[in-house]
Amino acid sequence: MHPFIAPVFSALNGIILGKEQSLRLALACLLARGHLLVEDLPGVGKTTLAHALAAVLGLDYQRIQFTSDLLPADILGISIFDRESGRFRFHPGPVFAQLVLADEINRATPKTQSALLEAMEEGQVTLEGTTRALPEPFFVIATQNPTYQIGTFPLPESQLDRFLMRLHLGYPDTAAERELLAGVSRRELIRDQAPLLDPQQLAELQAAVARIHASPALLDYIQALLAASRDSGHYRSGLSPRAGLALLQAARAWVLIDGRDHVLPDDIQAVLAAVVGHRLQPRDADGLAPETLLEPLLAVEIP
Amino acid sequence: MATARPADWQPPRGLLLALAASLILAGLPQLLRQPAVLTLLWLVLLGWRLALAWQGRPSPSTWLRLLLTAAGVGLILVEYGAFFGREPGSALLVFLSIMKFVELRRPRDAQLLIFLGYFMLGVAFLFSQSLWLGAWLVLAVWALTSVWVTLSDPRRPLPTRRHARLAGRLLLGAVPLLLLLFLLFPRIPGPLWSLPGDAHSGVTGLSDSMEPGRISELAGSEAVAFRVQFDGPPPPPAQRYWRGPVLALTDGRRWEVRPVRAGQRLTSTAHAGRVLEPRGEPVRQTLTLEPHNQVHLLALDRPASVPDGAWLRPDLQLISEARVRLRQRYQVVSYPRVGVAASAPGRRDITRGYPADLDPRVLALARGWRAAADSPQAVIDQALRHFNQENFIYTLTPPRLGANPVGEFLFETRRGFCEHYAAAFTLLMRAAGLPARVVTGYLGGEYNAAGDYLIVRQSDAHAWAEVWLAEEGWVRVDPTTAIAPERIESRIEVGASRDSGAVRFWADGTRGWQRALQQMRQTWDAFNHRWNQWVLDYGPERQRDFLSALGLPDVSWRGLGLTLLLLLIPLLALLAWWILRPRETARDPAVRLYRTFCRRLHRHGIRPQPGETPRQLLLRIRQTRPALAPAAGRVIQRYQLLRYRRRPPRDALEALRRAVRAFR
Repeated sequence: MHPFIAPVFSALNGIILGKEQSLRLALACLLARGHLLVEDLPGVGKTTLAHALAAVLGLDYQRIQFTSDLLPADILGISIFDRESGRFRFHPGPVFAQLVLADEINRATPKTQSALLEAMEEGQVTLEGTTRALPEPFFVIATQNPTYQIGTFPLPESQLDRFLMRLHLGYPDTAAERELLAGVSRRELIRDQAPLLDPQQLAELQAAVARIHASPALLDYIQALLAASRDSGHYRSGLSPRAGLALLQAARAWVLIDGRDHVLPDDIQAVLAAVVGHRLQPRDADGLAPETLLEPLLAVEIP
Repeated sequence: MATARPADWQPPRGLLLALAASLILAGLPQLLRQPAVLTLLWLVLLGWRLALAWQGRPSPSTWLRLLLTAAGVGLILVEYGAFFGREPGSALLVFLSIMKFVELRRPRDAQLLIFLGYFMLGVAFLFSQSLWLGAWLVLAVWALTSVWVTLSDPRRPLPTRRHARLAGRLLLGAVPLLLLLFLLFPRIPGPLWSLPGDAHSGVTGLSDSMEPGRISELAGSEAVAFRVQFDGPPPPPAQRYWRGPVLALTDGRRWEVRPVRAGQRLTSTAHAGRVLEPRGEPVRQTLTLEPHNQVHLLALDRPASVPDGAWLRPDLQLISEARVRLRQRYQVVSYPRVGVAASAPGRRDITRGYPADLDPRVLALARGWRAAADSPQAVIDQALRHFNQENFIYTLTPPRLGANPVGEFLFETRRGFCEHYAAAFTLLMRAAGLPARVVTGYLGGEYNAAGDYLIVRQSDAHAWAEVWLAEEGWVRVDPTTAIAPERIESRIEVGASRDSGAVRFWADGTRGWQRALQQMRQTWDAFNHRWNQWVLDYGPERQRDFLSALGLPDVSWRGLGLTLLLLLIPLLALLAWWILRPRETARDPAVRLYRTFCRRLHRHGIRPQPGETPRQLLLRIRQTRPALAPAAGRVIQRYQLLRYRRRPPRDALEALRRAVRAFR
């Protein structure tokens, strides 16, 4: 494992128990400059994950609870007339933070959702003719509750595509749950956690991701996967070129965490479910179940 | 308003020139053979089309082409008087090909022209199967194929050296198939198709009758009559008399073969052995007879065995059951002398007869000798002495003789060729009361040291006499030797003798260049002989011999054809599958090596799953077959290195190859 990342990883593992794979993917997503969608039941540690990441990486953190009456200005900020100076002054919204947790994003109206998603895409906010850059790094973790769909506005597919990865945390296993119950409060752990990377180091790591080598043979594999998603007949629509780029980028970040300098097909397969899962829908209702959705892709011959 | 016809294809000039050149190559045998008028028309049409192309003008209109075609076809009809038959058919083919060249307006037309070219070359073999034509064919086929390759190359529309090379490679690749088909294609007994009658009209050779001047006509021909190989050393020149038609019937001018009853035929060697009484050492020989369109076969004087498909006349002339229209090989055993176990010719036998209007001077001369001599041998000697001492001249251009040729020759002109002497001598013997007959055939032959055989040409044609002596049977007497003894030892020099009429003989090694020329001729002939022997004469018998030498049972040509077909179908199916098989896209040698590794894993019961990465495969091997893991790990590690690392080490491929080889 990469020498800078190993301590980060073990600290995270100490806070969030029994979720090594998810933590690794979340870290990879961050290093790949992507945004993360966590889809799970309440109480499995989505907030804790965001909190812990911010604390370990020394990022400033904002949480936005999405509700049906949330307005774009509540996220982006607002200009208010300042009587003393006699001028409008911009009050930045919670989106101006390095790590933003957008909780239950599907509860807000599409208008508000798209305000956040545009900020994610552009890395900047334009209000009243003024463009303001978002901080660097900028990482959004959005959560969705899949079960209570009444009164929600599920993200359309085109918006889902903005997230590099989608994770399911799921219940912890017995041992991890026991430790959680027996141990100290997570909140306290996070509060006591000192940052393990400075912003400079994080930026370097993000830049190093782009330097990971992807050989022609590996690009062949990615293309084979894309072609299979389009031709297999299992999916409503095939993967986009952006999905291909996402796959490559995520795999590179995954490799960086592993401390190597070249991508292997194994790395592609490791990030495949997280990167591709939310971009593919089964062709018909009685088609592939969610658990087996990616099996046709995993069976693609490696060139 | 312009017609809405799609624009004609304008072939690039270079391609057009190459096409024209290859058409000339393909058509040349016919162009040289046919009447000059047709060849001229052909060349004019070719040049015209080229000129049109150079000016960027389209091919002529349909009406003009129809008119030209009609004119050309009419010309062929005028020249040959027919469309059917080898000559006019071939001329028609070559003419219509050039009309197609004139029409040329689509790439498909050019393709068709190439095929027509191949066909023209095939037709040329109906006229000749010589080595020269074979060599020519190779050249022309190469040229045609090169143009064909150019036509099929969309990237390079002009002929290049690359196309010629590719064509050459294609043709070389076809050589094994050529050999296979040559050896195994069923040989049908007799000609495959019956050639039209004119096929044999130009064939020269001895005929079954003799008139003054007939043999001297042959003396001008250098054509090969036959070639002979001997089991032992060849007989000395003085014994190289090749026996052909034996002529006993005469009207004083024309000599003919006497008819033979079916019962007198000696049909087998055993049969002949009961009648003949061989004397002296046998000479075993193998003759390769050029077709002469007659029934007689030649053999060293005197034949005593009967080859297959032939029979022997009582006068020891070998007769083939069918006219010799193809080159024929047969073996004969000859004895320099053969006694016939039969009684002397009867009193009224035709070998004693002479025409009633025989010149009285001839009769008087012969009877004078008979009265003066004390034995038949003395009469013969007297006659030879007469030819030798009187002013007789041996010439190729004797004066024409009138109604009484023998008398005129003996007493007035005294100039003649061998047939004059043989005829006169035979009649003199008969007039003197001795049974006698004329034997035609060949004398001598040129020994070819390069091929160890004797070559006998038409210019060696000869006629001599046989006289019946009571104690010895039929005795050969050659009156020509009395006038020109050198005829036996030397060959007649053809060409120089034609005009002057004087007979000149080949003298060995008189001049250096002559000798060199002779040697060259002999080497070439030996080469040609082999070509005939191994290529052209590869008939049903030889094929059967070849197959049985391979251990194959005696199969009929029908069976062979069927077998070939049955063999060919799966072979072609296999070839089609090979060409159309799902291609391995892997051009990377590392991938090919890895696939080899996967196949070997399969032998160990481990089958790589689709989508399984090399690393996952290795994990599985570690779990299921730990013993294989180290060797497999080396392969997989090196494979991954080669495929996914930024700059794999230079020797990585070799290392992978070693690792795969080491994995058993």
